[in-house]
Amino acid sequence: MIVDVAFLAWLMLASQPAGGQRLAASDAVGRPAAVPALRLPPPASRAATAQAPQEPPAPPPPPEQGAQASSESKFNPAISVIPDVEYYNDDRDGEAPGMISGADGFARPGSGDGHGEWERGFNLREVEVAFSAAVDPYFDARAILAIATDSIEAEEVYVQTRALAPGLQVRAGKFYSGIGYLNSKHPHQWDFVDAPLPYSQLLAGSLNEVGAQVTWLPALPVYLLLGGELLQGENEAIAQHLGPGENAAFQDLPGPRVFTGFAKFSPNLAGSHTLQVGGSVVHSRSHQELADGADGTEAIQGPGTVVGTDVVYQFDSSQQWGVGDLAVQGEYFWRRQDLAVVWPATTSTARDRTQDGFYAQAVYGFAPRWKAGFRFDAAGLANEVRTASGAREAGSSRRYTADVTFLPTEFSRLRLQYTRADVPVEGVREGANQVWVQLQVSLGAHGAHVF
Amino acid sequence: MRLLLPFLAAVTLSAPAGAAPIKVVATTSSMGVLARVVGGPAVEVTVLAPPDRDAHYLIARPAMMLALRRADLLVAVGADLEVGWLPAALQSAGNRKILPGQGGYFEGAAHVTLLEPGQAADRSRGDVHPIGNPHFYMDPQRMASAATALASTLAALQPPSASTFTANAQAFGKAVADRVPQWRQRAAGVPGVLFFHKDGNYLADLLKVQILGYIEPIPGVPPTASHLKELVDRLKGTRGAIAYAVFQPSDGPDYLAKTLGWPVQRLPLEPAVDADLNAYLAHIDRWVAAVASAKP
Repeated sequence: MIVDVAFLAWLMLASQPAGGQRLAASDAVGRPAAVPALRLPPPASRAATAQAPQEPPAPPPPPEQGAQASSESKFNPAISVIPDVEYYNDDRDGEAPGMISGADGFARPGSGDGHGEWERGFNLREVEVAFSAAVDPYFDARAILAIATDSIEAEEVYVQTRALAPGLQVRAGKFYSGIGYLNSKHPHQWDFVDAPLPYSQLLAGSLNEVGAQVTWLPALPVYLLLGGELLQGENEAIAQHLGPGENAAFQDLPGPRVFTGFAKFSPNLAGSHTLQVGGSVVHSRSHQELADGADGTEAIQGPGTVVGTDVVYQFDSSQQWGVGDLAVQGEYFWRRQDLAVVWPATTSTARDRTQDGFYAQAVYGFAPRWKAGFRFDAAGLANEVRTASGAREAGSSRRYTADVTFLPTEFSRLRLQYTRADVPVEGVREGANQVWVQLQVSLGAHGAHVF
Repeated sequence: MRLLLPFLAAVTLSAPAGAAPIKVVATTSSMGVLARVVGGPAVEVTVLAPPDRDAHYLIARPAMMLALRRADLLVAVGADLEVGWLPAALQSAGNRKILPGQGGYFEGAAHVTLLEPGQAADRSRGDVHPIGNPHFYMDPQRMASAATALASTLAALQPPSASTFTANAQAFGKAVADRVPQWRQRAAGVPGVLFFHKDGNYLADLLKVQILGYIEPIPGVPPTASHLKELVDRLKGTRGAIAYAVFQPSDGPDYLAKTLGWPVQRLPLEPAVDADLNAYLAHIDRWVAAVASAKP
C-alpha cells in the first residue's frame, strides 16, 4: 500500500517533464533505434538548417516512368536467427532426461518448455528467430519464434513502452517473467546447455506466460528495480490449467491466475565488479494435475506459491577475449502447493507439497575465447507431500556439471558439457552420466543483452 | 515504511530545478572529455566504460542503467561501437529523453566524416562496422567537429548558456589547430605504423602516416601464427613503429617488435576517466610519440 502512495507521488512529479517531451518524441517516427549511425543531423542542428537562407531550387529532372520513392524495406525490423544444435548421449539408454525430470516428488505430466529434452545423437533443439523494432514513438516490440523440427512456438512476443514516465516500463504479450536471474534468459544466453534443476523441476523450465508486466527503476543513488506481473497461468509445474473438459471436478477459473513480484538490487561497486541480488514471489491461484494416486488417477487442484532469491557476481577483467572474466551466480527457489484431491471423492483429500531447489555456478575465462564452468544443482532438499494421514518425504536430486566453451567470436560458440546426476526414482538412488556437444551461432542483427 | 522513505526523498530531489547542472552520461572517457570541455561547469559527467577496456565488449551493467536513468544527455561514440551493450542498457533505463532521435541523444560519429565507410556487412570479415570506423576520437580534429555539434545539442538543453558552449567548442578547436602542425612535424618522415586493431587509423590519418598492417588478422579475431609470419615476411628489412592498446594482448606486438627490430608502445586507447582538454591532448601526444619513434 505504501509503495502505491510513493509511486503515485512520484508519478505526479515525473509526469510534468514527460509532457514537455511530447513534441520532440514525434520526431522519432520511423527512425528505429538502429538508425542513428546513418548520420542524421540532431534536432538542434536541424533547426539551425531550417533558419539558414535557402538557395534557389534547381529545376526538377524529368519524371521517370513508374518511379517510386519508397523506403519500405528500411522499416524492416532487426532480424536475427540463432540455431541451437546438440549432440547428446547418456549411459541410461537415453532415459536420463526423463529420469531426472521424473525424480521422486517431481513426476509431472507434459514436457515443460521443451528446452530439456534430448534424444541420443543429434538434436536440433530450436532455431530462435527474433524480430525487433520500434513500433512508433510510444512502443517497442519484439517477437521471438522458437522453431523446432516439428513445431513452431511464439517464445516471446511482446510490446513494451518506450518509457511511459521516467524509469517506468510496461510490457504486454507473451514473455519470460522477470523473476529470478536465469528465468528471463534465452537458452543461447545460458552458460550451460540445460537449465538448472530449480528451474526444470519447480517451474517446468521457466515461467513464460501471456500477461502484463510493470517495472520501475526509481532514481535512487543505487540500482533498485521493482517489478510485478499479472500472468494468465498455464505453467505446467505451478499453474497448469486443465479445466472441466479434462475432469468435471476441475474448476474453470478465469485468468489471470498467476501474480508475481520481484526486486533486483545492485550496489555501486568499482568499475570491474558487478553484484546483483534479487528476490521474487510467484503466487498461482490454481494448479490442476492428474496424478497417480494409491487407487489410480487422482485429479488434484489448489493454489501454490514460489519464493526465490538470486545472487550474481561478475568480474570483468581488463584482458581481451574474456581472459580472466569471472561470473559466479546462485539461485534458490522454494515452492509450496496447497493441493487437494477433487476427484475421486475421498476422505483424505490434502496433497500439500513443499519442495525447493538451488544451483550455484562459476564460469571463468581461462584463455582467449575459452571459458570453463562448473555447476552444482539440487532439487528436493525439502521434498515433502503432506496428506491427512501424515507426511511423506522423498529424497533429493543432485547434479555435478562441468563445461568448456569455445567462442570463436561473439556470434558463435561450441560447448562440451558433462553432467553427473544422482536422483531418487521410486525410493532408489539412480545415477546417470550425460554428455553434450553444443553449437550455437547468431546470424543477423542480434540485439544486445541486458545484465 | 522506513525503507520506503528514501524513495520519496529521491523523487522530490529528481524534480527539475532552475540552474541544476545537465547530467551527462558519456560512454567512454573521450566522450567525457568532449562533454566536460564543451559543457564546463554546466554539466556533470558520468563515464560508463572504464578507460582500460575495449568499448566494443562491455556488459550492460545495472550501474550503467541507473546512470542512464538519471541522465539528461547521453554522449556516445556511435557508429555501432557500443552496439553490444548500450541499446540494452538504454532500454532497461526507461529514460525517454536520451533515446536515439531525441534531444538528449548525441552520437559523435554522426557529426564527423568517418573513415572506411561502406564496408560489406559480412561477418566473415570479422567485426566490421559497415557505417565506418568508429574510433574517430583518436583524431583531435574530428573531436573538435564533434565538440561544435555537441555545443548546439547542449544549447538546446540549456539555451541561456548557448554562447558559452559555442565558445568552449571553439576553444577546443583552436587548441587542437595549434597542435596539429607540431604533431605532423614530429611524425614527418615516419615510414609507417602497425596497429593491433583499426583503432589508430584516425591518428594515422591526422599525421598522414601510412598504416602498414594490423596484428589481428581480421577485426575481432586474435592474431594467428600464420598472420604474424605473413607480417614479418612482408615487413622484414623495413622500418616502422608498433602501437597498441593496453587491453590488447602483448605477445603478438612483442614478437613482431623483436623480429622486425621496431620500437613498440603499449598505450591506453582512452584518456583517464576524469580527463580534461589538456589530459586529452597529452594522451594524443603519447600516441604521436609512439608513431614518431619509428623515425630512423
